[in-house]
Amino acid sequence: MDNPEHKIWLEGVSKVLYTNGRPLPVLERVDFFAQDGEFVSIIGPSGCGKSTLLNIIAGLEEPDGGAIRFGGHDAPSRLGLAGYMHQKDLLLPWRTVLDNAILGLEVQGVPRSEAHRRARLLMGRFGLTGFESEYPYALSGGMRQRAAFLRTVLAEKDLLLLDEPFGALDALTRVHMQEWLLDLWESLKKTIVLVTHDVDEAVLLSDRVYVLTARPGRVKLVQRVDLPRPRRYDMVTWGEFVALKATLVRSLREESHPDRGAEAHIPGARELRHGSTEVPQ
Amino acid sequence: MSLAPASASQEPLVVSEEGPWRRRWSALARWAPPLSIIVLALGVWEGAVRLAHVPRWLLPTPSVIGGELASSHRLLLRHTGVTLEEVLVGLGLALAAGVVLAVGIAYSRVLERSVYPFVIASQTIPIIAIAPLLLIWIGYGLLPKVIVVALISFFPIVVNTVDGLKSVDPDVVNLMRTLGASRWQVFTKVQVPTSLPFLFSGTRVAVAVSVIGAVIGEWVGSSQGLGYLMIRSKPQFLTERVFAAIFILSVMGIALFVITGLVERYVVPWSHTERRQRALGEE
Repeated sequence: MDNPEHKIWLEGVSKVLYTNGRPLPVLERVDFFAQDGEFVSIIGPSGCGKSTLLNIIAGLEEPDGGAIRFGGHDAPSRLGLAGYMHQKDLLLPWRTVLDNAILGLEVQGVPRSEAHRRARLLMGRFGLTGFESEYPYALSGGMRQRAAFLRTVLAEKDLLLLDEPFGALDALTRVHMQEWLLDLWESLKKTIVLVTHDVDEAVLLSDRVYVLTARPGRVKLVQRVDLPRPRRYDMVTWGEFVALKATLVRSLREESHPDRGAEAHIPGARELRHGSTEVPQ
Repeated sequence: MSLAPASASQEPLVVSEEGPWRRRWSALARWAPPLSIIVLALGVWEGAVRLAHVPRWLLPTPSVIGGELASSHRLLLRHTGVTLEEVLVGLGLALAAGVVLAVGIAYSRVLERSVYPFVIASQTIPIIAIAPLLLIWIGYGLLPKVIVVALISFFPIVVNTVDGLKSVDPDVVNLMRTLGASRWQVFTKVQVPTSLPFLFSGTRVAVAVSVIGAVIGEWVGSSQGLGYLMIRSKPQFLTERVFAAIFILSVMGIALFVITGLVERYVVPWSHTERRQRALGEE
């Protein structure tokens, strides 16, 4: 049941990929939506079709079955409707940070000077001030990822699709980036769909989290995250946070080790016991 | 919480510039070994020929060759001009035809399957066997030499450019598509810049072999050029002139190679810096 508040809405989406001529069902009857301004994460065991789902939303791939609606309309051709960010920064090495950032505007035919003006306005917020004329090789991993994110935001789409954007970063930089993304998102008012394998990241950032089953991916659980906003990184020690995390981790573990089930000794449960003894401030 | 967390302060940045002294020292360290080998070889050559009283027509000393370069410079220069023209026009032709064919091969399965094998097979035919045919069909003059040069230098250009066009990261192409880019925009903004460093690699190889092509073309039949001059000097036992021509040809090849490298640095500066960065490691 689509309604106009849904930025993106999928019903019964299935997808079969072919490897060496053999059919491999990767998605099976997936229902999914993200409301306007919502932050939604998708987690699941590796190979469950998370990225395929994101590619289908982006229009890079077409589903074999099911319906997709975009902003309340059927969307047979979706390329160019959503901003898309890959785990790799995909910065073009022959372009400066500034020229990489304006790639989307350039493709749309916005004059360079105007595109540069808009990009410069956001350089500070993306922690790139002073690096406008640097080439990507001169930047650290975190900065490259922020430059890639600036490129995504500057394309001026209401829906941003992020495919493990911080997956290639070290743990400390990743936490910085998550906090930074929280701030940014709360002021950008964009709809974000994030694919991640990091449960902390999903809980910390999202309004809702979709858990997919092992291949073929089906929706196993949709978990609402009712932590207050603005979120802060220290919430990861809150009892509610840990409880949510435990639910998601258990759900994921059932998929990775179906024989063990929920009774197994899992880190999430231990943290739950530990976490629940500490009353959040 | 700050909006731009820990950006400039925490993350390591650009490698510091080398000082002018260090740069001069490293330039010396780089050029000293080849230069000293050349000096040593010339010295041994000069000394051995003099001591053994090898006749001039058999093996002239470097100093005699140097003298020939100086005294016959007008003659040599005239023939150098002819050969250089053949090389440059042939290279231009090879570049134009090579890039067009490479784009065709990279984008069309049909062309790749039908034409590419023949491009590769053509390299197994010795150019020196084709040159006499060109003489029969086209005659003397500039054109058959230009064709020989183009034939010999066309191959590395095609192969490298095809590799370059195919080396494009499909994820980058997908990114462009999600930004709403047309196929033409993907081509001009991604594929062309990605393949340019490959095109330059191919051109550097092409430039080095192009001089050989011009000399072969001239040997088979011509009335001017350095190859012709070598053929003409041989029966006259003007061995020092043959050597002078060889010297000029190799200088020509090296100069063209260096110029290609300089143009490359100017046109695709990122390729150079990236390579250097990689050589320096992840520091």
